[in-house]
Amino acid sequence: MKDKCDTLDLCNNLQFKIINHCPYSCKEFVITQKFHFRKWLQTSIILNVLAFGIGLHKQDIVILLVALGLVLVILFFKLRSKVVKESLLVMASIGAQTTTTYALGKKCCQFYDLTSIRDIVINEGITMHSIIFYLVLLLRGSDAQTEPQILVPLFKHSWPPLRFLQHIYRESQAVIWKKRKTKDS
Amino acid sequence: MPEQKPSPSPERAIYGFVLYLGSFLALVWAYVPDPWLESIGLTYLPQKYWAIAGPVFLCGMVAMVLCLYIGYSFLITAPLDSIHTIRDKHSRPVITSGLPDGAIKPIGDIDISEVNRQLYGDR
Repeated sequence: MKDKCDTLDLCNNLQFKIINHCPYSCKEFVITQKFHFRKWLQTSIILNVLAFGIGLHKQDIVILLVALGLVLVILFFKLRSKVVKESLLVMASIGAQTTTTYALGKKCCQFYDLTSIRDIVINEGITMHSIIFYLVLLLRGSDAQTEPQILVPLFKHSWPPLRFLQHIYRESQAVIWKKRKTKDS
Repeated sequence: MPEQKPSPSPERAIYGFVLYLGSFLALVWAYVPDPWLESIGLTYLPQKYWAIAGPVFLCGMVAMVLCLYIGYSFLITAPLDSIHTIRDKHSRPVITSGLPDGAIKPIGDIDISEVNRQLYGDR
């Protein structure tokens, strides 16, 4: 199975990829959190030098072991909830599926049937300190109503910037409403 | 909610005058010593402690109300997954049919799908 990958863009720490599984009918949008090894290494070295400077290695061994255990436990819980990759798979006449991959390997998938999807749109929302653009899946309610009833934000751990969202919007609209690009348009 | 206007009105004049007289009485009570007040016959008045505590309470309340107002604004902001970011009980649909010839179209909230198509869709 050949996946045609377009690495479209790199934001400060996000990598955006569109995978065309099947032209015009199946597309996957993947946003990955990048891990900056150099920044991590620099921070670790600085902290180690500081710890050596204040004489942390001269403390009682029991206290150090307890502190190490505590730090490892906190690290484990933090890694458990750290999102590494988020993807949206849009398939014509089937639906959409969101997948979140966590740092320890856990994957959470959620599938939305096309009959319950009303649209995928870019919405603007107010958070505590800013206004952000975010991609939203509009779902119908239980019975056939004209108004969308449920709003599901997508990519809610990565919050990609607007230019990524515009790409995702255009391509997923083309897939869902099955628009085929002709040569002269 | 009825419209609130900052203009003067008879009721506000009365409130103002009552506050004016009340503030005079409060100042008199705060400054005149207790034995003098008792000699007149006014024995059942609040403790002089409140002459300090009252204004302090009011000033603290002003600062607290500022924080609370901001906090309340954050509380009633619709969360990002709420349908109220798109429509709520005050939103109106756009009416295009059933209008007489040459009429100005009434105001309505455009559906978010249409807005997105105009803003971000293919031209």
